[in-house]
Amino acid sequence: MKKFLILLVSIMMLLSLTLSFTACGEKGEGVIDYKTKTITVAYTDYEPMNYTEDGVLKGFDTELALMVFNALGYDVRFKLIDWSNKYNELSAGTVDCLWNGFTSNSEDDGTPRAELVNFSYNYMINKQCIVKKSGTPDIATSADFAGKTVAFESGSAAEDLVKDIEGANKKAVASQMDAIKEVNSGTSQYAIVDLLLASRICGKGNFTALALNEGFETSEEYYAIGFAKTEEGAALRDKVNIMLTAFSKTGQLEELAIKYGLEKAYIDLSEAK
Amino acid sequence: MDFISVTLQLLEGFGVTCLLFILTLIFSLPLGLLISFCTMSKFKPIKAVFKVFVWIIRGIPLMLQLFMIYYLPGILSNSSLSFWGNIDNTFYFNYGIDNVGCFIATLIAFVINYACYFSEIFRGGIESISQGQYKAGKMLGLTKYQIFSKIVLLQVIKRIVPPTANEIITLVKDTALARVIGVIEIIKVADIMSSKGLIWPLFYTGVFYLIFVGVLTLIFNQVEKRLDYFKS
Repeated sequence: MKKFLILLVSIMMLLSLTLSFTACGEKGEGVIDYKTKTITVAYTDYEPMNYTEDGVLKGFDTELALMVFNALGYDVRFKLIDWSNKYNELSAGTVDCLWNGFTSNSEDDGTPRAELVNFSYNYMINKQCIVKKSGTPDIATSADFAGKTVAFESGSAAEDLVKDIEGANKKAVASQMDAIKEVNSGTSQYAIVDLLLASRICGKGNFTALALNEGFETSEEYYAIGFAKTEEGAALRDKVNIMLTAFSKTGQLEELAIKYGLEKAYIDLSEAK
Repeated sequence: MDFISVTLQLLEGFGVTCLLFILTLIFSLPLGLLISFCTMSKFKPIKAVFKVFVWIIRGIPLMLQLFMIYYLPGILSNSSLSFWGNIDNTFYFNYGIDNVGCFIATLIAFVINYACYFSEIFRGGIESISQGQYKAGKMLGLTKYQIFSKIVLLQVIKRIVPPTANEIITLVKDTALARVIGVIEIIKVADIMSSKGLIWPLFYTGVFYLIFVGVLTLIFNQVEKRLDYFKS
């Protein structure tokens, strides 16, 4: 009797396990397909693109995503993700797009990002810059990094830059703000981060001790929205592109850029194809 | 941000931590007992299956199990919105509750993982009772069920309390792993603050864990005292 009971219970457990996995594979009947009317936007806390102020999610990318998807008739949910899991989230379908100051002309471990995701038009231009404490000596060439500690976000555009630096102690951290925190708390001497982010926070608020390193220019990079490398992803990308062009024509895109102090980074998309 | 508003925000995250802890405990303790019976089964195939199952679950990092449960359904299926994404959206758009999908995924991973650890503790406890006691029970004319419930069980409970308490305390701290798939628990809340340059809340979270574990330790001490019935 006991044997039979144990057998029964274990069969039930195995069955429920397999069932739950097949249920994942196909949409069961009666399950509402939210695909048709909702969008999940992946972001990390990153001023001025997506950030929370007094409990409200704000930022250029936040507002633009809402504008675009609402115009397309979608409800939007923003999901705070661990940025190093971004491709997992996208290919697992737990998010629909990566919209968080995502650099399109960069690569991950030698693979161009354009091969990993479907990119929208580039809607913003950016550079990398060096952040340091005001008293720390300036860096003029990459050779000046020798014997110094430099922090950067792993998987970010800064990583490509750091790759070419020799003789420095390179510290990979989880986010750009972590890299800045490293400098602020004195655990690193320099941090390589986005100019947009750095110019917004250096010398302000909790970061009065920080300054931008003048005279170290890097190549330009572009921000775009990343969609899954699937037909559906491409279709959604095309819809978003049309809206970006439309908002650029009406001037709403530029207005939004000015609102967040990003007018230098704004790209006119009214003629984009 | 002042001390009080930081504390309030952290408490919100701590609520998620506690919920994850309590639900994991509620489901994993009975499941653990069930698995322990299966691994002790005299029916070889079941024993083998569950031994392998426990080996796999205990052998893979909990973080990897979180990734597997949360990402695999979407990667294996062709639909672009995954099973968990669908749950996330359903709850968010209908009830305004965010991250339900990743919370449930985390819960499942934690329950299975901890059930396996508990099962081994239970098995150890049950097997530590000498065969002599079963024989003596039989001699006195007790049934198998009576021997287990009247003689074995009380001794087993007494013996498994310390290791179980140990595992439960580990669970409190393991909840911090949930952040990797998007659950906003206390450390994630502090991490978001620290990403804005406010670092002290990150260390302050330690106080919450300390108090929580302190309370649990007191409870377990009481339980051990209550179970001191065999003291001569």
